[in-house]
Amino acid sequence: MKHTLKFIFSSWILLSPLFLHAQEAQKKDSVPDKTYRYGLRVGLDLFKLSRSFYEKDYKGLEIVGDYRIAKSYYLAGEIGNENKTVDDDRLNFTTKGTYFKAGFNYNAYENWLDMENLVYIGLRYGVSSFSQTLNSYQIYNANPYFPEPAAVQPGEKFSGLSAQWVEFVAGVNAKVFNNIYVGFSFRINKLVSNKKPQDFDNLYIPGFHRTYDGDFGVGFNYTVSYFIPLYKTKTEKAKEAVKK
Amino acid sequence: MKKIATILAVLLLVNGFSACEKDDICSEDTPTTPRLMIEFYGDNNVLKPVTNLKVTADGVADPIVFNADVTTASRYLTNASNIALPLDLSAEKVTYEFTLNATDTTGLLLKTDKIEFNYRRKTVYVSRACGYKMLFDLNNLPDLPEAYVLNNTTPPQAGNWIKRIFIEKFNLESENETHVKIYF
Repeated sequence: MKHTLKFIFSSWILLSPLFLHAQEAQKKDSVPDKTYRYGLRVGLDLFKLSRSFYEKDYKGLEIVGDYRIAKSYYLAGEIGNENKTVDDDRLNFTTKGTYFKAGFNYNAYENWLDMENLVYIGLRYGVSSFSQTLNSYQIYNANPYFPEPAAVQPGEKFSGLSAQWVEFVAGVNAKVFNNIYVGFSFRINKLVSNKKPQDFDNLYIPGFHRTYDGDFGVGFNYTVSYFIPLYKTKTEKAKEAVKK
Repeated sequence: MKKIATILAVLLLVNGFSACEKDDICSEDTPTTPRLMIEFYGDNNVLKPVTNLKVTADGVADPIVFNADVTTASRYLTNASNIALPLDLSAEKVTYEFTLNATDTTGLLLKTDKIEFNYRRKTVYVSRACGYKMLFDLNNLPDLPEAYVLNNTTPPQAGNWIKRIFIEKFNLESENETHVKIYF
């Protein structure tokens, strides 16, 4: 699995300049007169919000935001809080914490006319601060002969844990009407640092989600956001037309 | 656009696959709670196989199963020169009854010795799939009960068939090591 992920990552990294180039080439032959609106977009992750209702062991909230800094580039970030209880065969634990992710998105979608949609890839750096409570565990015994002891319920809390990671994002954000956007994104995360508790592990990290084979994670969000326009610019062609 | 669609598809796939990662199953290769590994030695300090040895813990109805594939009574018998005995996870001592020539009906060759093992326990985190394992330390401190007691004799006397017991390794960390040597 780890190798597959590595392969996907590396092929992605290898491919991305190619397709950025391809997009630039396309630009030349389609230069419609149009204005670009710049501003701040803030939204809410409905996936986390709805899970909080239908999944009794989960509570989460994520606020997303981006700010357009160039025609195709956006400063982007997420801030959130999660409280998740995981009930595995051998372990039951609760992770609580807050996270913050910051980075950028590159919009690879060439909009027609006055469309303002995004099909983007991006990069984030995530930081999470959390605590874990080990609710119960069962000792693994491959050779049961004596009666199996009852699950141990230490209720031990490990505080002051933290993790940092790099996140690759790919997503879509579509303007549905006026300044309302609906979008979703997929994420692959790789841990950079992970402060683990003594004699336990960070099996779930808020914002990073479940950890796989040590340092990989995946994520998804479904957002509804509102765009607050701040200023506008026009394309070169449109500017020239104004001068004449 | 096509490339973006491909990337999204790949990401979707990754999302799907990762749900059935191998770290959901505790692999047999992962060292978990170890058993007490015992080796049997003859006079010249050479490994010596036992004959029809049956081992039963005090308070447990069935003897230890040595041949899980067999359904007859011989599943409880071993003729090997080494055995693995589980320790009780919820106690700090366990007493095993070692019966040599257990199939002997005449009662001439059938001999029984009891060994009590005293140990301390600690739990150690392994992984998500395996959870916690328990490691044991056979007692090796003056104020604790002896690591082993043969037939309730202290200091230990030779048993009915066991001549001498030697603790090779006090801390049980894996099953790839010998913990106890029994001379007979």
